[in-house]
Order: sequence, then C-alpha cells, then structure tokens
Amino acid sequence: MSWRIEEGSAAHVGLRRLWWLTIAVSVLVVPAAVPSLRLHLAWEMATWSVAVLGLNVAVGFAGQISLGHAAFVGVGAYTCVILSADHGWPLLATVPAAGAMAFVVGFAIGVPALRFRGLYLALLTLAVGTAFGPIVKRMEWLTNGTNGKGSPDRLVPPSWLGSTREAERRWVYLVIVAVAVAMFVLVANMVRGRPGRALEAMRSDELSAQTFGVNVAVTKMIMFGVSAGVSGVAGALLMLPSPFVTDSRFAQTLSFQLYTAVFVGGIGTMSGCVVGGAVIALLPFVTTSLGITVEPALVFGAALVVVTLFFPDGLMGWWQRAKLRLVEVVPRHPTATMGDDGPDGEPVFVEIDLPPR
Amino acid sequence: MQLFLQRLFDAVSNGAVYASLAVALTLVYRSSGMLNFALGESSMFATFGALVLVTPATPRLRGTTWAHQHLGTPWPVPVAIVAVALASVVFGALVERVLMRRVEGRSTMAVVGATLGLGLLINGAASQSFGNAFWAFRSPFPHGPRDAVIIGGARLRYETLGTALVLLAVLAALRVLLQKTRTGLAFRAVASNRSGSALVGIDVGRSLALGWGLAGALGALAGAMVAPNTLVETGMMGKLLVFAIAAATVGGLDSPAGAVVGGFLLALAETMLGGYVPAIGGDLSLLVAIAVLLAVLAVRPQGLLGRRRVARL
Repeated sequence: MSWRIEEGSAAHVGLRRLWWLTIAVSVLVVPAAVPSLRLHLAWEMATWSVAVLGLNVAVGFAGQISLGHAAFVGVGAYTCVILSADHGWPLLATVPAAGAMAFVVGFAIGVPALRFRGLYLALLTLAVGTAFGPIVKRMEWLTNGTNGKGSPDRLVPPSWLGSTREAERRWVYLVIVAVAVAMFVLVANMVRGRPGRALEAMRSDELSAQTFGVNVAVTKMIMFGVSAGVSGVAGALLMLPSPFVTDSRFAQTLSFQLYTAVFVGGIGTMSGCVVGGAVIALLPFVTTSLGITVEPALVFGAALVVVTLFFPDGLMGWWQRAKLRLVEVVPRHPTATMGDDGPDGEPVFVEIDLPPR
Repeated sequence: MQLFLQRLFDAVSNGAVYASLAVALTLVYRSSGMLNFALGESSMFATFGALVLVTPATPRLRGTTWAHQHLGTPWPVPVAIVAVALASVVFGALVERVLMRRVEGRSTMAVVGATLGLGLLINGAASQSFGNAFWAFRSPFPHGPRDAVIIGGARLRYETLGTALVLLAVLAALRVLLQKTRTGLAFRAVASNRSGSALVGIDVGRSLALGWGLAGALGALAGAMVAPNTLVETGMMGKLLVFAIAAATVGGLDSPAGAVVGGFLLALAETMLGGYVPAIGGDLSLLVAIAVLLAVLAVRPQGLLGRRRVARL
C-alpha cells in the first residue's frame, strides 16, 4: 500500500524540492540555532563524510578495496599544515593543494597495484597505511616527527559575521560545509558521467568493459587517485578549525573505521557517506556523554560484522527499501524509440556478421 | 662475514613466523577463496590466552585468577601454547561455520568486510579486557645469554633455532596431513573443485571448517613464537600480518610451498636490506615488503609457485 506517483509529475517534483529544501535548511539553519560550542560536532560530521566519500569512490564506485585510506587523509592534513606553517599559504588555499597531493600519492600507489587483478590494492594500501606513521617520523625535517606540527594561522570570518570567537566558529562551519558540498557535487557528476559508466561496466565484467573500449587500468588508477584526493581534502578540512597534526591520528584503526563507515552507510551511495561520516564523528561523543567506556574498535568491528551479514547494502539501502513502501515513483514512459539515433533523426542500420552455423 | 651470518640467523626465525602465517592464509584462500584479514588479531588474542595460562594469578591481568582457580594455572609454557593452538582450531572452525559461510559467494567487499570486522571486533575485545599494556612472554626454549651455537663468530640462539624448527616441523606435519591422509585428500578436492567434491560425497563444510581451524592453530603458534621478541600487546600483529599477506602473495596465494618460500624471502630481504642500507633501517621494513612484492609480481603476476588464472568471457 504505497503512494504511487509518476516521475516528473507535480507531486514528484514537489517532493524532491521539499527534500532538498529540508536538507538545505538543516545545513544552514542548524548552525545558527546550535550553541557554537557544539558546532564542532556538525563540522566533524561534514569532514568525515568527505573522508568516507573518498573511500566510497574506491570501494563503492570503482570496486577497489583500500585498507589504508587514513594515510590519504593524513597526507591531506600534513599538506595543509606544512603549506600554512612553512610557506605562508592562507589556510583556504591549502585545501585544493591537499587534495592534489593526496591524488598524486593515491595515483602513484594505484599504478603498480591496479595493473594486477585481485586483492593487491588492498594489500598495498594496508602496507602503506601501516607504514604511514614510520614514514612521517622519518621525515622529521618536514613533519616535525612525533611532536606533531601546527600552524598559527586561523580562518578569519568576513566582517558581516563579526569577529567574535563565536563568529569564527560559525565561519569554520560554513567553509567546511561548502567544501564538503562541492566534493559531493564533484563526485556525483563523475559518477553520472563517462567515468561512472565506465566503472559500472567494469564492475559487472572487466573483460567485456575492456572489449567496449574502456581502458580498465587507467580508469582504475585515475579513480583511485580521485578517491585518495577527496579523502585528502577531508584531511585539510580536519585541520581548518585549528591546524595541528600528529601521525598517531592517522593509524590503521582510522582506515578500518572509514571502511566500516562505508559499509554502515551503504556501499556506492552518496547519502550513505553522510551517515558513515556521522557515525565516525558522533560515536566518541555519544559514548562519553552516556558515560560508557568502550573500545571504538569493538563498536566498529561489531557494526561491520552485523552490517555485512544482515544489511548488505547498508543503512541507506535499507532506507531506500523502507521508502518504497511509502512512496513509489513510477518511471516516466520512455519516449525515444530504437533506431532514431542517426544524425538527422533517421534510423541507423548496422550491418553485423552473424557467426556461421 | 660474521655480520652477514648474524643477519642470516635473524632472518631465519622471522622467516619461519612469516611462513607459518602465510601458510595459514593460503589454507583459507585455497579452500574458500577468502583472504583472512582477521588472522593477525585472532593470533594476537590466542597469544594473550597463552599469556593468561602461564601467568600466576594477578589482578593486573584479567582472567588469570579464574584460570588459576579452575584450570590450576600457571602451566608450563609449551603446554599453554599447545592448549591455545587446539582452542584456536575450534575457534577457527566456529568462525567459518557461524560467520564466513554466510558471506560465501558474496562480493569481495563483503568478504573483506566480514574478516576485517571480525578482526576489529577481536582487537576491541582484547583491548577492552586486557588493556593496552605490554606484557613479556617467556620463550619455551632456553633463552639465557649463553644459550646459543656459535657458527663463524655469529650467534645462532637456541630460541631462534627452536622457533624455526617447531614451525617447520608443524608445516611438514601439515603437508603430511594434506598429502597422505583421507581428510587431506578431501580438503584438496574441495580446494580444486567445490561442487565436484560435493557430488562425490565429500563433506565440503567440514573441509572448509578444517581449513579455517588449521589456519587458526598455525596463527596461534606463530603468535606464541614471536611473542618473546615483540612482547604481547593488542597491536603486536599489525606489521606481521602485512608481511604474511605479502609472503603469501609472493608465493602465489594458493600454494603453501610458495608461502614458505615467500616468507623466508621476505624475512631475508627485510633483515639484509634493513641491515645494509641504513636509510631503510628497521622502521621502514614494510617498504621492503612492498618492493619485493611488486618486483615478484612484475615478473610473475601469479606469484612464484601460484597457478596462472585464465579468464573466460
């Protein structure tokens, strides 16, 4: 007993607009209503959503397993702080640089790993993720080793927000949300465009995708670079509120948390990334405010096992199905017919060689 | 020469540990096509189990009081290790039955998710119950400062020798089990053709559970052997597992013999490159593993002793 509406009908368009309006209002109005001290929960949610989005590009869209994405978040964070502290870059300008840097690192890892089929990328990223800490410590001249590195620079709010501590926090929130939205739009466009279709073809059958002219290896490397780059942007976002970075924050546990978040939200869904990001950002807050001392690994591990066993397409997949019970969107009747794809609307006939009997 | 021999000896015990863990991975991979990312954590937990069994009752380590009252611990180290390895067989088989059988045939993501989640869960449980302290673990072999054979000026410690011999003996026994017994025959049949073996009346589930169980026991043994050097703590297996997966991959993932070769090859590369190239040292040894892996795969994509896979459209 669900409400059936036709795609493109007034009801359908209205519902979609209402949905986006709700999201826009909650993103823009919530920060005005929430006391500014709690605002960090909101911006951490946005930041981690971007990190999860990055991993989801690899896992969900490209079908490649990465077990070391924390390293890419770390590369982004270090790029941000180093450029700001040592080279005097304004903080905002470091965000794209962090993404570019992580893209390069991800691409470099993808080049050897993705030439081979199988779990080699998982293995290589696991190794790189484990080696991230030691490498950072070794490059002490650049990263300041175990002491961590900070930058005195802060985001300066525009004059219309005022210059109080509170205005500063609201500005941080707005900037992070703006970057996060930009990242989601970027990935959504890629997924809908040619790269996304190529990936879709590769996921169903690599060999036949290759037959249809998809350069499988290069597409995978680029998508893995993009995946790393998006997570690198999240690393920079992590630094925007107060730029200080240590390597311990990007240990393997974080990679596994990100992987769990992708699963909990839903592999290959955009909205699932927000759910996953919320889990990472809110879990420590929820447990401490409930007064429970529990190892995060225990919670994430249990969540990952339960979700893989019982909710194979994550919370968002479950929600999509629940939504179907309320509202069913009937697809628009197809108007195009086969054969009128020629340059001037004329039917195109293709000669094919049938195999001999 | 003396330094070279010393490094060679150091590589031997590491190599045996990598080889055992890598063989454990191939046992599971061969039978069910899954890479067991939980192996490191389950081995770590088993090592904690052995630690509890050899430690006198103390409030500082959870479980020791209970074990003292009900099991009469502390036990001698070798007994504790054997007990934990046997318990790991049961645990491994249980994991296969309860968890892995449900994700069989699903996507690689789901399989990785299940083993990774299990690993996280075990790690969290260990941190929750044993804390994050480092514990010393007594070696089951003589390990005094004079317990060593001197060869060419280099010291081959009894501990190193014992670790290598025990693990190699276990691997040899495993080979006999797989090649000479009916159970092993059934296991190999399942590994080579699952539905075919089911049709001729082999209990496929039992073979799969056997693979996971044996893998668990090997992991527990390797953990207990490496523990005197690494100390017992919740993160002790992180780096080891990476080396083990790399070793198994270098060997070809479906070949236990290849896993042994890969294990020793990686240990050799680790100690030699780490020793002779100061820029690498001990802390960047993971990069050595990556380099060896990529070098081998570039020449032989199916691994040293692996079977070449052919795709059909």
